[in-house]
Amino acid sequence: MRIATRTLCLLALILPLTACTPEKAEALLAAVKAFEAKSSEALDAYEAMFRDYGAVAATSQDELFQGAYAAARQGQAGSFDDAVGNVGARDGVGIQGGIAREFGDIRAAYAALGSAYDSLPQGSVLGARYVSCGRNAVARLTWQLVNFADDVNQQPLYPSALRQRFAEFKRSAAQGDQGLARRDFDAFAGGVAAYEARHAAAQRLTLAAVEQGRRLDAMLAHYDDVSLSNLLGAIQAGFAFAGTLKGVDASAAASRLQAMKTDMEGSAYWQRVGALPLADIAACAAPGKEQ
Amino acid sequence: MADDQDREFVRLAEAALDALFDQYAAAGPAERWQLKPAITKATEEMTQARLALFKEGVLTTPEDLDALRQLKRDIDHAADVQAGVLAAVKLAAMLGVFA
Repeated sequence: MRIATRTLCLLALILPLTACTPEKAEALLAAVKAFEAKSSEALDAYEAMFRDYGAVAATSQDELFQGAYAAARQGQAGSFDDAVGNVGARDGVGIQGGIAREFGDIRAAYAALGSAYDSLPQGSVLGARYVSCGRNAVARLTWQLVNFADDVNQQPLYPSALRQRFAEFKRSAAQGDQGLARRDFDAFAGGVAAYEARHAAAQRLTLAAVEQGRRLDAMLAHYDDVSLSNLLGAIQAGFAFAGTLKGVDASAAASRLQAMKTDMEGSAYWQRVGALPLADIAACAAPGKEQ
Repeated sequence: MADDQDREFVRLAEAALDALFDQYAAAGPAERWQLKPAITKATEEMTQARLALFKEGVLTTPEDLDALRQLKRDIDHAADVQAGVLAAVKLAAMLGVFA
């Protein structure tokens, strides 16, 4: 098996773009997987934020009954569908199912990238040829992460229940009920603080993934010339960077991402990458369809 | 990628949703029962629109912005719960285009 691997790797060496040793290929695969893992953490954070953005505050069974009863007394209970719209809470349908599907699509591109390199350490000639194809994919996904952070940073995803809580506060205050207004306000302020912590965490996780992506992109640009120790060093640096992230405050993470976005938008390379269709990543992972 | 017009669209749509939440908070039990399904639907469509913006960017037109501004005025001046329900349904329909 080992001989077969070396033979294949030797064969791969003959081809352009394939300065391949199994160790180097393993290191590259590890770097790709690290990028995939960090991106996944950032995507988890965004998905959770979207879930809260899309969820209206829960209504208690008693409140629902009071509403239904009062409406029915006035002959205004509405249709069966309206009633289900009030009391129904099935998982996996409606907006929560929609969010899960959208993020499933987003994650599929990162998974396709990871799988494109799986066969590289076994000396796969095919895998070696994906080095160039995969670089486009890494760059496109890195670009996407920068834009995810920018989108949420420009217009934060405050949970809908928090917006409702503020509306409740205004109502309590208008009625002159200071005790209730105080409780609503405290809950609102606590919710804002909790959101801000999650927003900051998402920015830091994105920064870690983007740093890894840019490092990987640079490595892939010079894969033939990069030494094994350089590859390993870059992976190490990625882990060390993630370890220091807790110390990076949210505005620092956000401003570093913003600076990267400005930098990337001014670069012909990144502009070309930004225009690439995401579908190309799946094509890259499919044998015989690499670019 | 989202441009300034898309950002303005999100800002206006969120303001319209906030106005509906205000109306809901001020409503009695029977009105809340009538408003909630439409407001939930509008919130869901808002979320789909934000997801579309997050993923690829959506392209809004100046007419979209004008329609949203008008809708916000309608919600602010909604005379009764039926007007509120109608406004929430309209908001959901407007946002549904981008989902």
